[in-house]
Amino acid sequence: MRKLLALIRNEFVREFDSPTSWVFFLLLPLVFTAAVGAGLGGAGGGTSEPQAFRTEIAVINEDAGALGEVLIESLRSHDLVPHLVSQWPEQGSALHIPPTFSEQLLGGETMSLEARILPVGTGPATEQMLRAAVGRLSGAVGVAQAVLADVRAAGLLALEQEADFVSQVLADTLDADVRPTVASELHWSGGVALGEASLVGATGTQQASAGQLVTWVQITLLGAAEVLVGERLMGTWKRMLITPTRRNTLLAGKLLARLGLGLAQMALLILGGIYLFGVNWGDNLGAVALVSLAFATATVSLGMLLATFMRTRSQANSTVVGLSMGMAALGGAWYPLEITPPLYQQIVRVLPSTWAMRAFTNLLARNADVLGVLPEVGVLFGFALLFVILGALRFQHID
Amino acid sequence: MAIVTVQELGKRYSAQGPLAVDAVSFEIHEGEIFSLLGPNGAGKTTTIAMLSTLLQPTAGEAWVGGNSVRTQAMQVRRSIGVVPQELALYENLNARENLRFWGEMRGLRGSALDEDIDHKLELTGLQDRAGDRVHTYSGGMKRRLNLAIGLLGEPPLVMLDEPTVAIDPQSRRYILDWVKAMRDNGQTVLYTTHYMEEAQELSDRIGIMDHGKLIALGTLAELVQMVGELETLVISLGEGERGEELAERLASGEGIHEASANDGEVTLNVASAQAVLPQALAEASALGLAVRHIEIREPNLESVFLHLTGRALRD
Repeated sequence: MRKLLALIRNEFVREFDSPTSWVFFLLLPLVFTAAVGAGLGGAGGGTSEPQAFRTEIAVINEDAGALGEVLIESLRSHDLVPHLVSQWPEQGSALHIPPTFSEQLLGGETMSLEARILPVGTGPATEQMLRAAVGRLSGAVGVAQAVLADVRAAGLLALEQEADFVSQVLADTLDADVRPTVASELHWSGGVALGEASLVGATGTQQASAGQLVTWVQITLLGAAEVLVGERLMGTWKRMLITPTRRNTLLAGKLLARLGLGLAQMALLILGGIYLFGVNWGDNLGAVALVSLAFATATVSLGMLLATFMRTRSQANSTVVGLSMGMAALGGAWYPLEITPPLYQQIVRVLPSTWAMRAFTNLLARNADVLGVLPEVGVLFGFALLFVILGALRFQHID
Repeated sequence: MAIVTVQELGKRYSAQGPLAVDAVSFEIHEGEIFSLLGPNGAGKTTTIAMLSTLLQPTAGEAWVGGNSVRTQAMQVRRSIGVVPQELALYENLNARENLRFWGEMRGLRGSALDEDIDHKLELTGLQDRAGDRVHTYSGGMKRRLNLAIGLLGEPPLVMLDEPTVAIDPQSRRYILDWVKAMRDNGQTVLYTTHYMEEAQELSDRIGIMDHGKLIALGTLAELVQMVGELETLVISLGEGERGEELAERLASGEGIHEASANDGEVTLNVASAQAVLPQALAEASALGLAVRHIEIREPNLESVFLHLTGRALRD
């Protein structure tokens, strides 16, 4: 145990042998978090102006009446491309139209629709277009109800059958006219509004905070690949091998030291995200810690496996940086995977970074608890086990 | 009593490659300084690597302190200190931090480790620079620290692999005196070098290696006896001149047992230097070579090596 601690302490002391170490360990990751967060739209979800593009939205239309169809048509007229689905999709923006939508609306009740919006990329624009389409329908219904009330007030509808007839005419008119004119000064008691759109992904700052964490911590953790090369070049590796220390202890010491460095860096970046950028990492610190540990273990184990293949420092350097950047980019650390094609999303599941980003997004956007991230954590520990076994097998043959 | 026993030890780095160490056998007695002398590539470092359990032998067996280097590596490592030929230091740590880390890796701890570190810093003369990072040290200071690390914990057997390569005379003197002090302290030393003078000055017994084989073994006196009463005549030629042709002509001369040339020097093992000298000078003159310096040496390890291999030790 003392030798293990000596190895870990040695690694920490040498890692921070100069103040510039902190630039890569903490400063640059925070700067990039700020810059990328701003680029992805910051913390808000609906501040961007609608853009001249058409974007898809899944619609679950359960309405028994005709107004659900009217609303869908209205979405099309607002540059949205609705496609009907039967249940909430796993990813992407979606709108739910309940079974009693027409009945309640025509009965003068206030409706609130449920929608899920991606808060980055096309999400903010989608939300604005959705609100405009719903507002148009709401206005049309309001006009119809106002007309009906005025006719009744004027005593023009003596019989109940006459009232029903006029109501039907108005409903048919609404059904036929998908672009009713709305007077802005009109007020109505009933109508339809879009409820608070729930987020289906992380906000720009959340995405940046998790993404930059994964990117930079990967560099630290995969840095394990450089450890053996560095020790070999210094001659210290051979010296270690002839001390009365087991190879597995040496391997564990190096691995745990890198793991500790990675976890420390993650803790600092999470704290930086909270206190500098106001990122809400959710209420489940245990889940955050578990995901961080699983990601760090998987990545440092991959680093140790790579270390057994590295022969020169430049080879190790380029491998670590290239692989860190590549895995971060492909795994969704630089942009939300939700905006990529489904096939791509399937392929990148071979990367630990993908599972780490999925878990972090669950924590950030959905306030997931330990159970909510357990599948991703399990996969990450599975990666770790695989890499450790392969690394240990190769490590026994390294001189 | 033998602290190291080596029997028919061999090492081949690849199946088709040459034998780096070829059936070497010797014993090292407790409390002695045993030197392995030989040119670069003779197999000295490979022998040490096998004795320190860094490399597995491909033939033969060796025991250190009664423990097999093949099957009891951990026990062997506990009883040895190794000073590698190349520096093996953390240059971004200071001397004290280096000593502490390597001491802990040897299993030392607490006040015993603190005292050992202070003792080694005092011995190396590095107390005043103990807090400075190693990359600010001179080459000699690094060598001394490299040596001190190998001696942490006062191991009964210390293996030093060419510890004086590329250092200043002062640090070299420091190290040689230190090696003698180890023997006085009861430690056993296995010392490899290609400097004949060091082997002569330090060693109780010397093994001469060449091309992976142990070609001679004994005390200095025993080894010198192998060349009998031969003297060594060294003729230094003018700058830029090579002596191969001169050595070739002299090799068959009367009273000349061996002749070799290296780097502008012609070395002859002769029965009588005075008798051979006129002939040697005449041949040099005939070849148009300028003789810059002539030296007659008593029989030494150089002449032993020349006698055994037909080459000078520096070849």
